[in-house]
Amino acid sequence: MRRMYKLRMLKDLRQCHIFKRIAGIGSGRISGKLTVYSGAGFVVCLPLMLLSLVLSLALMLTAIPARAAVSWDAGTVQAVYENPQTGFAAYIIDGENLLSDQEETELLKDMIPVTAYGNAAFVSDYASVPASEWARSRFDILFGNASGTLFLVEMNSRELYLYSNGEIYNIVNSRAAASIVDNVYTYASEGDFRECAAGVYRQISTMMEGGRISQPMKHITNALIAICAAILLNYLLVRITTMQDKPKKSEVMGAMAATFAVVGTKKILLKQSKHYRPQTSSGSGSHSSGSFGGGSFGGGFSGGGGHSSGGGGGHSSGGGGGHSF
Amino acid sequence: MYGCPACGAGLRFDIASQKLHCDYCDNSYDPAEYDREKNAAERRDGYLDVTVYTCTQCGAEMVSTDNAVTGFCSYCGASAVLSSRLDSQPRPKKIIPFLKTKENCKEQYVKKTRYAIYAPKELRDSQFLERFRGIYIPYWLYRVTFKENASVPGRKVYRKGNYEYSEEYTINLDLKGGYRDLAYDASVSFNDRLADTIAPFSHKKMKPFRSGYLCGFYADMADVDKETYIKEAKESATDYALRSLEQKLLKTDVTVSLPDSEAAKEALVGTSCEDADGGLFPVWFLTWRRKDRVAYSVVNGETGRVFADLPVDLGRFFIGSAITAVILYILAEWFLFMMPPTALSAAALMALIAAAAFYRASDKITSQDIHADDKGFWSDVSPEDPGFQEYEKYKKKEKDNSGFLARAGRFALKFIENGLLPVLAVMFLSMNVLGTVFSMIGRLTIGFGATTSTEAVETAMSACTGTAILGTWYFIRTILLCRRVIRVQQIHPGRAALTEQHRNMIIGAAFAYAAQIVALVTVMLHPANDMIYYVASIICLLAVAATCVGLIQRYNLMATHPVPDFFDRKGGNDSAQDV
Repeated sequence: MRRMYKLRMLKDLRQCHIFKRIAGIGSGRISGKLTVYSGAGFVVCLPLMLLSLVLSLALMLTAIPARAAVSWDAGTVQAVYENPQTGFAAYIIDGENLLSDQEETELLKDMIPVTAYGNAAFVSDYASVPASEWARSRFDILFGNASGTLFLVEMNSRELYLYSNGEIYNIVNSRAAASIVDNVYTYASEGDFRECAAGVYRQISTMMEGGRISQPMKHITNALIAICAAILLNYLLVRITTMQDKPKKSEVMGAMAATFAVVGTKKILLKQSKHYRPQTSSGSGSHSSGSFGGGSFGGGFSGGGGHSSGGGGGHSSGGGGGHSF
Repeated sequence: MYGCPACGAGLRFDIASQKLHCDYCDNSYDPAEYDREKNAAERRDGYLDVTVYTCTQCGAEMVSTDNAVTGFCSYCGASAVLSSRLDSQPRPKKIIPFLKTKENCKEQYVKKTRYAIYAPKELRDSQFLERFRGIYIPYWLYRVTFKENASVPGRKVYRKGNYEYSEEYTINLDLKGGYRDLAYDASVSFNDRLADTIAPFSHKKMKPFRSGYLCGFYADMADVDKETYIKEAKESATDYALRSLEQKLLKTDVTVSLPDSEAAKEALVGTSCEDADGGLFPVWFLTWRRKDRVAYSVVNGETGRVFADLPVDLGRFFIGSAITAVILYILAEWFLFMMPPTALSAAALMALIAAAAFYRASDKITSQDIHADDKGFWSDVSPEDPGFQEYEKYKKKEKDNSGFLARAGRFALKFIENGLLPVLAVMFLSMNVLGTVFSMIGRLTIGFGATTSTEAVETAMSACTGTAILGTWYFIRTILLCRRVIRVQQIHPGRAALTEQHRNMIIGAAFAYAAQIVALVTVMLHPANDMIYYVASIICLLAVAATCVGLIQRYNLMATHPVPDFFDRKGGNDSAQDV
């Protein structure tokens, strides 16, 4: 209970963006994506950075010390089920003890249909890297490049992430994964992780069997966006097709009876000055190298659909989607 | 009426042959020859006997040398019997006879309007196009001259070996000649905006006036004072003269700096405007009327250049939009995925676009309402008058904005001054978006593909904050448009009035602004439940849709004019009502 209380408090703090950033700086989470500031931006941001550093230090001293992630590899975990037809396996690795034994048994029933198409894994963990990276790394450890899906409940950043690869990823791509997780995150927010995970696997099964996931709010929003965009586009079309071009100045000038002419010019020198400026071989003028130091693109983007940068076997090239809870 | 010397039937000016033609006996006569031989109708005191037809609906007056009674009024579109009276009008010095026939006119008009797919179908109906009427519009033709000598300072910098030489010169210029026939429309009824668009009329086509050219056509009356456009004529002529001057000076190797102010430029070349002659230029005129609004289509009777008010048929527009919406919806369902916060960002951005378009349309309508684009309308007031000042501001804006690059540059500058800088200031201060402009752009471009809620929320924070700041700017500026109308109304209650359409303008802008505020507040609250984002998105998009509907109605106000009222020729109720 005490642990849950602390987790909830931390969750509230983390929901506040300011502290998210501060905590991120403090724990080095964003060290990998430290942005480079332009000159002016740096001057403005420097006092803010110092303030955030002080605050993060204070938070670190008073906050719960970060825990190390549960370390496991393929040798230390065992599949709870293996599909006799396909050979794909199901894993439940509940490092955070979110599920009771009975809940794990019930969850397995929802995972089994998925093993017809690929491996399935449920992982609850506490990681110090973004959920997307952790999910992919766990998938690589468990399944390598094989077809499969891994649902991660990451308790450090309180994020759910669904990572898929192979045949399953062909259907449950990053966007579908985000939709799936979008539909179940409320269960996780309420603490019902079994229902949350079960919902994920049921939706995956539905999609693999050719079904579609119902998302009425998404459809309504898309419809309204389409309507507004259509009106604006047609308005633009109306404005373009009814533009009235005014005549050019040259046309107007040509229409007048013009007898004006400059018939003579006479230059009268008033003053002449002379300066000694020897030519240099390196050229004149200083070239500023510029203080441009643009930020990284999409700072904060760690979404799925990415490809592993390394070569060699054992690396998956799938993707996924996630949601905080 | 000009009778045929052979049979006595009425003559009409035949455009194709450029002669007076008798449809009864098929004889043709040169208008100049006809006048010399049959000059009994011509007076020698500079005046012309005409019949003045007055529309009983709007008070527009037109003159004709014929006795025929017209079936409708070209200015208000009303089918009304026109009352007539005999009168004497100052005889113009020059005329450009109609060179484009009605068939040419209709062809040009159809060509111009072929892409206006949402225009009312009446405007393309061949029977309706038969209502094109040939009218001669009066113009003042100014003569501008310059002094014979001018001097400009010049500078030349060059290098010889290790030395740099700088020389200062005075360049004496011998000038000759000037400009004639700078044309400005002399009719209050004929809006300057129409006149500017169908310009120019070539001096080469001008002929000495003969009343025979008017046979079969109408003419508007010159009711704008000659002195009204002297300033414009001098400015234009000075501008043209200095262009010639610059081109000549380019051939020397001296850099010349010409003065900036109009007064200094005119002083440099000694611009002087002596006098103006009256002229009549041919225009084909068509009026379309719906309820209390009229749309004008005008074709230059010499060159065929077209100006057309093209309102939108709301029914056709919304059917077209519905078809487009279905296509976009299918594409969105297949290709677009947005997390709920991203959908909210999209809604906020659309609200901003709608707000910007709405403001621009409202600005144009307000300028039209107070006749800021029509100097002739304000020709009788002093330069300190608010109406005249509105015209001066409008003219300056048009001049500064001429040319696509100049317009784009000014827009970018305004955007940076008024919009981007405050947005950047907030971004830097906001702990959520630390970084440079590129980080923000990067986040916005990639963020729309966000697949985690964290990324989506960060995108939404950036987008909604930025749009709310810019949206505030547009909303305030839309409200301030009413102040322009009030300012003119206080002095000239008959020429401008705050009406229901101004209230509708603020309501329309308020919808878009409310959408942006809803988006900003929602994203600031950072709710954990996605349903809140969706509900907020839906509210925003409904508000945007309401603004968009208002936008199309604004457009129709922009593309049409209130039915004119010329009974008080300098006044009239310009309050608009929605189409």
